[in-house]
Amino acid sequence: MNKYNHGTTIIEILLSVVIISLVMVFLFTLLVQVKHEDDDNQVQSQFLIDQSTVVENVEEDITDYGVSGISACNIYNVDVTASSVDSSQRENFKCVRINYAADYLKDNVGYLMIYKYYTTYDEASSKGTKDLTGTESKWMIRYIRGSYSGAETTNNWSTATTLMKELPNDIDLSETSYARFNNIAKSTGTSTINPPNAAVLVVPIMNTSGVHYDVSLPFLIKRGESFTCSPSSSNVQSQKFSCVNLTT
Amino acid sequence: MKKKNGFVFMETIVVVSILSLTLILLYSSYAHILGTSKERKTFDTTEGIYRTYYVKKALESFNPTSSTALKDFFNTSYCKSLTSNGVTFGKSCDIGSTTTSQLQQIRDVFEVDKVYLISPYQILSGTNSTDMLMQLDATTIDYVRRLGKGVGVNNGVTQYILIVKYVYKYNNTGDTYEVFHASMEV
Repeated sequence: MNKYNHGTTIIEILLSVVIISLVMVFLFTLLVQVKHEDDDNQVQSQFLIDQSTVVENVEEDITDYGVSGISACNIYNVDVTASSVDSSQRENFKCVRINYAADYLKDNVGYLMIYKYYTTYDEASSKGTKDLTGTESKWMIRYIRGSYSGAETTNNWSTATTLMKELPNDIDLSETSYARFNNIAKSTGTSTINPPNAAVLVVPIMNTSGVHYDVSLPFLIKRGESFTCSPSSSNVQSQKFSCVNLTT
Repeated sequence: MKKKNGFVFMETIVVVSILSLTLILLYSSYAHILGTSKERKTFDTTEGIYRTYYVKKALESFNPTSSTALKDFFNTSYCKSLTSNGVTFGKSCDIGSTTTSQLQQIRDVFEVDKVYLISPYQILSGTNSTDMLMQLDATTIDYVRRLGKGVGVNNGVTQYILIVKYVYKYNNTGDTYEVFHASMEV
């Protein structure tokens, strides 16, 4: 018989299977990596779109009207119904108030907020009556600009512009991070700024893997303009907000 | 009877090799996709564009009455010329190591490391492109390559753009940071 008459031996088949398996292991690892990256990118893409929308909205107001002050605020300063906020995350309600400088601007107060709200809450139809226990909740970033018609209470508040964006599911804001206004020492407090200063308002947002999606709002404080940041003492945290005096 | 033969070992090896080569090609294309999407994360976000706008305004404030305020800033002693074969192809300023207080504000608050006034078109189209690129820092080289030859030119005429390199230090201690770039026409 001719020596090529036999088929493959078991050893040859085993060797082939081992080689193919090795390649498959690498391929499978790669596919898992690609899937993970794809999931990550989908979340990130969505967030970047939301982040861009928020940044653009606030920055348009900042560039158009200028900023005269930044301060902490809380759930009772703004038109958020307390019962619409997830009761387990109420203490993590983050809020920054922006006072706009333009003299002609009536709606000169802006609030940038992050909080976890009940997505099924319908304020118009269920105000104060709906049992919200166990309903689905999501983190949301919200920006409103408007004015007070008298004392600064929610009853006197009137909203001129508003923007709301739900954050992706893997965002975790339950940690103790706080919003901050970064500037150098002479830019905080009530002193007049001269020369013009660089400033940035940072609202930190991280995902569960520790990747930053911060909403960061840079601006310049013009020469000779009065500016306040409250609390005026550096690094003192008030309602998840702090004025940080960077040292050079 | 040759027709009755099964696969010989060499045939199996050849098939496995072809499969492996195909997989390697697949891997490289996936790796390229991954690399591109990772790069996309670090380039020109909306926030970066606004930040660059304010950096430009801040640099212009050094010569507030000049109509060419930004160029005037790049001509100050804070910056240096980038030259290749005796020809100047742009300017760069190392804000990260500045000792000037107003630039320190930009460095510390806007987290600016370097600013460039260059034309990617000029750099990437020139005969001594490699020499020009070598005068930029590594991450900026990647950014300029990503912008491509179509940026920094108008009807065949070289136009400089402002490129800002940011180093974000999330915890303010400097042990973890990310590098971002953003650019703006001037």
